[in-house]
Amino acid sequence: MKGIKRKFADVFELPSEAVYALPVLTVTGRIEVIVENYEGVIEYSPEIIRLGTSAGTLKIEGLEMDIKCMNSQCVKVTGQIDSFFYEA
Amino acid sequence: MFLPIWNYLKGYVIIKASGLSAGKFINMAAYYGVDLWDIRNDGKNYFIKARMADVDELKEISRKSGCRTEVIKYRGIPFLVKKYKKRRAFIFGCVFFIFYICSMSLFVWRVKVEGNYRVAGEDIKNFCASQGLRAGVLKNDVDLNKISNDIIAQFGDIAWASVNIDGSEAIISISETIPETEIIDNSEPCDIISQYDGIIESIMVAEGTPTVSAGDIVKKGDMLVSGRLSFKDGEEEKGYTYVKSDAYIRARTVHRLSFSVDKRKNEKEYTGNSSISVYISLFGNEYGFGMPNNFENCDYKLRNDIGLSIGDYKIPFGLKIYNAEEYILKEVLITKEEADIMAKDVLLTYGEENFGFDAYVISQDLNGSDEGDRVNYTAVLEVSHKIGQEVPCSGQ
Repeated sequence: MKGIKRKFADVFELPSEAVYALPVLTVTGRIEVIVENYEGVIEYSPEIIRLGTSAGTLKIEGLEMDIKCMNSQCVKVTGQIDSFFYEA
Repeated sequence: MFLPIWNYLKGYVIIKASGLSAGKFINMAAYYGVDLWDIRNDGKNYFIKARMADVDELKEISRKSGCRTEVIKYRGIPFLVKKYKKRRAFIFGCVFFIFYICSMSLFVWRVKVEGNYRVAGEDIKNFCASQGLRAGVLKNDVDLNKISNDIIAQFGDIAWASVNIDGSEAIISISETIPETEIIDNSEPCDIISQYDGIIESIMVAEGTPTVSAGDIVKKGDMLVSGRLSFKDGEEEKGYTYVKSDAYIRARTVHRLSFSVDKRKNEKEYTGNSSISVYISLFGNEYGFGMPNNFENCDYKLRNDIGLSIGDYKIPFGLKIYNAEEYILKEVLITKEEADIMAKDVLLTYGEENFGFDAYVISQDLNGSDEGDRVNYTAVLEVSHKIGQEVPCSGQ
């Protein structure tokens, strides 16, 4: 099923985040990260924010971080962002 | 920018979520489509902003997630309205204030004139007031073009005028004409003769033939500049013509004056008695509320003038407080020295008053004799001034 989906997306050149519900990260400098297609907030503190996504757990590290806005589609994290990576 | 404004208009709340399942509460709220923003974590509690309309749903989510939540603040227009609903006087004041500002803005409250140098601003303002432009009139009632044209027609010295209303101020901008230059009629030839006896100080001739020079003694009637111009070839006169003589001639002349200074003077001696009168002015009339005084002579001095105005428009209601101070008139005699000072003041202005603005007194010799109630003075003045009187050419 996944293979058919992939072929369908490739043939029609559909955006993969819409087909696979992959997370989309939009980073603005070191002050803001917008994460679309996330599944939920796992951990939230001013130094570490963990978000669940279909690609794995996204860990954002930094200082004085806040969740500026949050709804079912996206979450916006602001603050001093040092790094973000997917945990295994 | 618009979203925060919209949220403020609709109203929002700040919720404190505490406990171990606070994270679950936030995730469930996002999952069920509730918009949350400005989520802060102080280590123990989560502080979340959400719309007022979502509060009921959040209570249900809180119950399901087992999280302890509490609405700690209410923000937005709906809560402001609720807070001030009972303050009717405040609401009335706000409405009245807005109405007052809007209605006052419909009127002209100040008239200003710009660009005038020779024409007095007050004259222009008074004329405009007669044409309907003055403080206190409705802006829509003023025909700006008509008034501009009327100003140009009324004042010959104004070449251009424009009237504009900026806010509540009417600005009249004018541009004056170039002053007319004096047209000298050169058709009638003339000589210049002396009106006084004196010594010539300086002579500058623009037209004509000078017959005197600096240092010459002249008598009244002597010719100073002749209008006859002759054309000479060496010593031989080839021809002549008559012109209108034009020259600036200064001379020193001596004048004798006799005058007297009255030593009697009425002086006010204040007795120290005073009374206060209060007057209310209403639409130009004054109504007094004061203690009547039976002073034979008194000075009324305005102590306070309390009046309100909006721009140039004076509100026709005010309060004036007068102080009446009683005095007695006493006739005193001034001293001879004081009379001498008054006499010198007379001499100081003698030259300018009698011989023009560029005349001045070079020297003076003043003698006075005290006659008791007056001092009689004789003075000899040496004055430097312009002389010269035009007369028709003698040889013509």
